Amino acid sequence: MSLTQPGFATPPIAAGGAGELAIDHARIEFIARRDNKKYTAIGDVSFTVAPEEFVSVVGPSGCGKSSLMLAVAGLIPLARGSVRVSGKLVTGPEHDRAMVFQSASLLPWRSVVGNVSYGLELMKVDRAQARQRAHEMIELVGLSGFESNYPHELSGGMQQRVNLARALAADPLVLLMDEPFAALDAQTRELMQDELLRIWTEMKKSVMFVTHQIDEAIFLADRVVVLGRGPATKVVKVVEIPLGRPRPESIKRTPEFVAIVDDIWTTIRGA
Amino acid sequence: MTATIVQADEQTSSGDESGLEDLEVNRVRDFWFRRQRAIIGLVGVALVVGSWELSADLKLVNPVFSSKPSAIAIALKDYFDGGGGLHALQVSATEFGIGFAIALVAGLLLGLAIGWWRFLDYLFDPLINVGYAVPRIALVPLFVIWFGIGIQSKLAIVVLSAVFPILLNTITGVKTTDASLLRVARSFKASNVQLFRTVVLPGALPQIVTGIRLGIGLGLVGMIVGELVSSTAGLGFTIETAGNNFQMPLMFAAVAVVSAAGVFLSQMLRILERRLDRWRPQTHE
Repeated sequence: MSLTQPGFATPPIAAGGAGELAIDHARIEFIARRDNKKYTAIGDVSFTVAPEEFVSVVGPSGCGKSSLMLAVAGLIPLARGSVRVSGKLVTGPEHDRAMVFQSASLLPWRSVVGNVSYGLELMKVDRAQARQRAHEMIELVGLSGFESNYPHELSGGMQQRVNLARALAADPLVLLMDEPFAALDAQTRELMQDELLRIWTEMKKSVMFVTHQIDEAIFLADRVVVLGRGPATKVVKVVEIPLGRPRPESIKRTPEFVAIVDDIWTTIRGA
Repeated sequence: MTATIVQADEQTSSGDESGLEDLEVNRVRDFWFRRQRAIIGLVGVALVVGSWELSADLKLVNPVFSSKPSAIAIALKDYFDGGGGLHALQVSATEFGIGFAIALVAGLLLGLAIGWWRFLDYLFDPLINVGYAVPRIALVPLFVIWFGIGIQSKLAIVVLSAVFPILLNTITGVKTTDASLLRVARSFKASNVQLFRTVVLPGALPQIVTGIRLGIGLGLVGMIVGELVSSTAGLGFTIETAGNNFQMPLMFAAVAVVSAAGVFLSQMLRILERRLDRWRPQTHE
């Protein structure tokens, strides 16, 4: 198990490769509307997600993980530093990234197909093509047969699958996932983790996966970025996950896995 | 996920005859369940109409003042059979139709704009609050002075009565757009127009329809009151003159026509609502 120093989080791949996500000394500040006080959510965070790499981001509650995600998506501005995707500077939302939020946020008045093709529709993709692609994605996430159902007819896990399908349909280079399984029950959560790995293996995207659950972070990722406590959060550790793929769910109970959990847990506690 | 419960007990009947019997009972019960709303409703109406007719016949109330359903029915027939009913209906329908159309367009456009742009909201909010608080009905005489006794004054009242609920509900509908949906749309780089078309408008629709329904009700009331106060034709005019001449059956008949129009309009709206609501979970039944 090798540890890399923060700042050296880039594995030896040519910088600016398609699908590479590079976060360089990002700083995020908020101004509370009430009392005009400045709050620093993220102090100084740098790490890189290589093309087709799966990187998890963990940290204590309230450390600003979600804010970091929103900044990478381009929905909130950085106070300092930069985010680059495939070498291009991020100035706002763009189709090279797609977000999967914690709440599925499906348009309730649209069917599953209508929701999955939503991103494509906004990109003004031809309708027939969009439908075709939507059907492919629906099949990929395992929801064949539910195309005409409305969101309220689906369980939480199914809604998140639609959420994922919608993000994938736009064919982004980088997938940004912000605690997507946090609202699901434990069993569905495990199921979705397996499903996500299966889908990721097929679609080969770079993934930045934010979670507060350590075993989930380790199980899914190639590397785990550990953030410290907020405010002014920094990266305290980057952990390589040397476990091979494909990973059965049972790997969570092996001594190597448990040792990594222990390591990260101690790091977070001590941060 | 909705589960379809399959009847597993079709096979468990004890014998052939009892199976047939159950079928008979079930059919009656089925008919009742599906029609109970209509049946019970009809019984209620029949009871009211019946007791009205009876109390008039038994002189429990003074039939000169209360009239009775049979007399009203006759008056209704005469009203439309050359008694000026058709013309009155036309006049009132025109007043309401044009007035409501204006209120609808104005209310929707203004409401969407005010709900979307905060500046407009700050600008118009006090004006709308004051305007809503003023009883439009009290302004009827003023409108008659301004617009004359003809159709224009009634039109003005209908517009002013109907526009406020439509406006206010549209504003609320836009303002209460689900922020998480907006965020999703933004993350897909949606333009403001796309945001409005795909998230704000569909989300605001239920609230807007509520506003329209209220607008219909208030618009009808406004029209009738306008005609009652001063007019030369229309259903309200009939009510006023028939009332003044103690022609009770005719008065009730005209009132019935107005009610029927109101019911008809809200039924149309309900059908529209049901089509728009297909994606919603049913709260009852």
